[in-house]
Amino acid sequence: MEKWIERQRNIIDFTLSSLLRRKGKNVALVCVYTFVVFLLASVMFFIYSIKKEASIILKDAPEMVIQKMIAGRHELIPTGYMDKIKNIRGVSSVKRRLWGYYYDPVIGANYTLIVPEDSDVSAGNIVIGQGISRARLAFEGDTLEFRSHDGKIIDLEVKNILSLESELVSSDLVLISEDDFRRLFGGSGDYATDFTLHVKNPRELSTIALKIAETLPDTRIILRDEILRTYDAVFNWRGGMMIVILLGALLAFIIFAWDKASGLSQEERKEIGILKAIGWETSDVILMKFWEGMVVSLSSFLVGVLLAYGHVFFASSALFEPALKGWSVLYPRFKIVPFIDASQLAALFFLTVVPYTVATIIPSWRAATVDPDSVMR
Amino acid sequence: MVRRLRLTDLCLFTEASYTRHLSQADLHTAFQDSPMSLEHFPSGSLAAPPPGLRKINGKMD
Repeated sequence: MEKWIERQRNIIDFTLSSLLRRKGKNVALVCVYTFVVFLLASVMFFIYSIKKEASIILKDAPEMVIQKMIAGRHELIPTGYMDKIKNIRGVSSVKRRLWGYYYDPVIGANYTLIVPEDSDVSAGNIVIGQGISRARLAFEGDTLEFRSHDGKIIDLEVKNILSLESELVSSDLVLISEDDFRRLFGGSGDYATDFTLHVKNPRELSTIALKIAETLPDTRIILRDEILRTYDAVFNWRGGMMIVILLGALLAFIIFAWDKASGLSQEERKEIGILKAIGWETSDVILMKFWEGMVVSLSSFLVGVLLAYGHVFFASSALFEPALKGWSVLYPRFKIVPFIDASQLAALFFLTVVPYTVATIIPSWRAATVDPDSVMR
Repeated sequence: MVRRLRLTDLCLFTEASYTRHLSQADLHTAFQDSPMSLEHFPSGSLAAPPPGLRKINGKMD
């Protein structure tokens, strides 16, 4: 075993010095190779992470959301609709949701205001997210001013700040009491932003949705499964679109790498001839070429993957952010948590490292089996 | 026709209101359906939000 390792070490040593002799050419190849792996891995990392994150966040989303539509737009829904929905067999509960957006001219940012269901925020108080706390320098006990729909100023005291861990979904949140919500945005208690619904048997969801649509034709029903499927499909679509755009570059690289790997230069043929003449066996030459392919492709793969990791998870996919995130770029706090799919990484490995390595071995095997004398001439 | 019907936008992407009427979209249009939702129409990546909208929330980051 020790002898085997020693042999590999010597061959790798020779391979590295032979690669260094053709420094310019090999560095150029590694750079292009790394860049291609970097692009592909970036798209893969981003798509997988965002899909995973969407599924984790949305797994606790309401089973069904019911919104009223007027002229194709989402409108406030009359609370009287609740009774009609409750009467449908299979519905276990219907709850109102009160939420809205508020533009704060002081820092020029937008808040998402929500009235929590368990109403643990009393009138005159609010609970704010970390982002608002940082931007407004507001902490527990401080007072924030809000301008209501009729131009009056409402002072609300910060009772608490939401945890740092939940910042991804809560950075811009303001939890507010129902009374203050109504004072701020107007409207009577007869209306809610939308309804959420729970059913006794999840398998009846689509039937119940159909019944609601028949009973209340001016509403639109959003199912949790639909939301999850939508995100899955749209991010696959976006990732696929990026890959199609990159395909041209990818093909150019494949031709370039194939040409470089499979065609031996006169110098390389001569080198193989000399090695054979001084006593190397064909298997040694193939092993050397195998390591040469490995060194180039594996180092490009590793560097490319590391760069892609940094690009996606630390630099927010700056290169193709708009295409992948769409309008979600409007919220800069939108940073994704790293999730890596090992099988995708393995697929990328087998699609990049293995073909290149194999492509380097075949021509050298051909050259190595020819008589050294004729190769050197 | 534009003058007669008082139109404001090109009919490029009809699937979502904010990509259909780019000039009429505000920060919230893409997130109308649910608080904290992710934007999810394919055309959202072909028609980016108007540049003026993008700088507003920077301080909250």
